[in-house]
Amino acid sequence: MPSRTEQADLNHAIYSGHGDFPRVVLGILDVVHARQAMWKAFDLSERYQLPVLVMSDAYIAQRRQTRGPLPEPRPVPARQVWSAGMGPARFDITGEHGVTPFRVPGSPEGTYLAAGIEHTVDGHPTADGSIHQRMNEKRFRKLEVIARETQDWAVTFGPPHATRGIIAWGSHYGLLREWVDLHPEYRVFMPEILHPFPIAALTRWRRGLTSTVLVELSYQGQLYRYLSGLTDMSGVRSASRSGGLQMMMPELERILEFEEVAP
Amino acid sequence: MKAKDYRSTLEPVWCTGCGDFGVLKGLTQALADLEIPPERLAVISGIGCSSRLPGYLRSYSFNTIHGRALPIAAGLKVARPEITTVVVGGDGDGFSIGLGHLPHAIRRNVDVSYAVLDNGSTG
Repeated sequence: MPSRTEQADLNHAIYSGHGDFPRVVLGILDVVHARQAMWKAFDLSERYQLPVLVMSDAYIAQRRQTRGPLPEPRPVPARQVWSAGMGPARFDITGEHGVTPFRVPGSPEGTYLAAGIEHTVDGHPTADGSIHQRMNEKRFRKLEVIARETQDWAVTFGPPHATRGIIAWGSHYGLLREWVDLHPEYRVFMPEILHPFPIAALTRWRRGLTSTVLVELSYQGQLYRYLSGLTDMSGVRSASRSGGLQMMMPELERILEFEEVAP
Repeated sequence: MKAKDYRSTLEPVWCTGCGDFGVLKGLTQALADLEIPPERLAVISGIGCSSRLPGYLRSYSFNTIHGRALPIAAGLKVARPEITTVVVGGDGDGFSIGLGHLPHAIRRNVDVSYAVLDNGSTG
């Protein structure tokens, strides 16, 4: 459970690791959204056989929230499961979308080695550079498919024709809902998936804006920097600070007032 | 099944005369004696020479990360109790970087067998 309210682990979630491997990063908006996000996390992880990291913070984790009736239980996320006769290799390189069926321990004729290092299609450890390249090409096909599947995984609110935009993620959700209720000249974009980022949805949403601020609780402005590598952010002002305390209406007002007097 | 039927197609890369060969032979003989089907066998290891052993067996084998074989094996056994689960590793894997997991594995008493191939190097 998160012990601090901050959004400064984003770089760690997206980039850290030993070598190249695909992963997905989701963000939780509030307590109610957490249930939906966790289901999506397990669903992606099971179907695509890759790690999914879910980012929360103490402001969400340590509060209570009233919600409506629970929806009907969703189906258990489905993984592709191998059975005898389905194919020759656990790590077949031609797997659709980079995924080959999972072999559940106990399946006859399905034994294999899950190596801790790069491996051949049969799971045998290898240091062969060309196999490493082809295996990475296979694994990263997953991200291409996931990016298409999740291209609209973002929440937007506020009047569609508002000319001032706010980009944020995570627990700013409640604050920004309140803000746009009081200030209809603003609209908000909040991604539910941070990596791969729904960049096309962000680009569409930015049309018609005369000013945009990205608000986050990270001294380095990690989301701003991350997005700068994906799209042109020159028209977006970064308003970031260290975490510790969640942002409240007066602070947001000061941030956005600054925008009014900025050149 | 005979002991040799538990071997995979991989040839060990251990040094000539290494005691790990004897452990591999003893393990396959025990599996044959106990008539454990390969699909009902999981062999989990950490990192090191001895942790290469799962790759030489026909089993659901997982060559995991340094010192973490025990918790991964415990997770497998809890999820799939019908699978015979064996952990192998070296003294460094088990008694150095992975030592913190050993008392917890004992305390939880999950039904796994743990073979430490001690060459006295880092444990």
